[in-house]
Amino acid sequence: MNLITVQPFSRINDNLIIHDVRLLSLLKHITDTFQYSNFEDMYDVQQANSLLHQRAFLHVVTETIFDYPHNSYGEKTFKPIVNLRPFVLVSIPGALADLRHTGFKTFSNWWDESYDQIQDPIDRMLCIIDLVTDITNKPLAVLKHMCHEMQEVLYHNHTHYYQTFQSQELEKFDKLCKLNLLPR
Amino acid sequence: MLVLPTLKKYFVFDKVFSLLAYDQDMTKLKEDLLPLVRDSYESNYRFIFLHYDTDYHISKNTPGLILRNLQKILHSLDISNYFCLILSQKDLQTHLDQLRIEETNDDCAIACITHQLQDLLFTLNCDATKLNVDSINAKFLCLNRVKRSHRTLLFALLQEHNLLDQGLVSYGSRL
Repeated sequence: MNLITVQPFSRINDNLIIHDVRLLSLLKHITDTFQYSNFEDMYDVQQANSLLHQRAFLHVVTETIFDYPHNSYGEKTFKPIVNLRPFVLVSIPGALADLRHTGFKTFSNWWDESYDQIQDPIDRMLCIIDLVTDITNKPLAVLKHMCHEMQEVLYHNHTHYYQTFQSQELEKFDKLCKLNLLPR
Repeated sequence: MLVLPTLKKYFVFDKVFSLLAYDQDMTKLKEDLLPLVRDSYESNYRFIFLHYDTDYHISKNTPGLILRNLQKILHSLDISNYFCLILSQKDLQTHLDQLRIEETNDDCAIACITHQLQDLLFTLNCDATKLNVDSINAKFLCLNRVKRSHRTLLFALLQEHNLLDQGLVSYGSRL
């Protein structure tokens, strides 16, 4: 039996292939040791710190995966939800659609979410940056007003996360376990 | 483990194997499975594997290397796929079907139960219960503590568009 090993470990997701020369030149100054933070970052994976997370209008959530065969949510996606904030998901194509499929609502009434359907990772990223730029170009007062307008969606997501998501998923899991016992 | 009571309700199993624990050395998984190999199993006996982390993919259309190694190990131990179950938040069934054909002569593929019940998703601490817009003093938040290539690209684009000062942004502060 020959097991396959990869040395050094690499994952397709970590080897985003960039063909655009202009984009490559943007990355040149970001060295392996480069770090940046424009706020005091008290990291805790399980803490959706409301003092930090509620300071901003839009959460640009960079999930672990972006160019990968399967969707997979981490806790990052749910931090804006528990903090009653809108979000853009920097994840694989269809990640927003999958989230809607599990009962959450997204923000197509306020901005174009077609980035979620773009298969090419670079095109998807460029579409996301255009969207973030558009949103950021609006005055803060307009964004606060927009946040008020979104409250039905924000409260729906908050309630769904805390009250129904887990029981709904447990119910689905129960059915799938039962099905697994049937002859195949 | 949120799923444990349901697993116990339907299946008999000795252990739940987290594939992440064998990520660097899958021969150890074979060693750990070996004592559990028997000539026959109850019909609801299962070898249960958790596969919540990312895998190593040569291309998007091929199964991950962890999954392929698992299939090879099970086949070498003569453990039928029927008695194996993978729990993942990803739908791995197509790749498991492919691996059955490529790596075994088994009648069925390893089954994958796709679910979103990873404990980490349901234990977020947050005291927010009411919408508070007065606290907003930044237009966006973008946390990129662990470096990944897409986060590097996003950070570079935020910088090029002069957006960093409009938001709360981190990059590369954790290994």
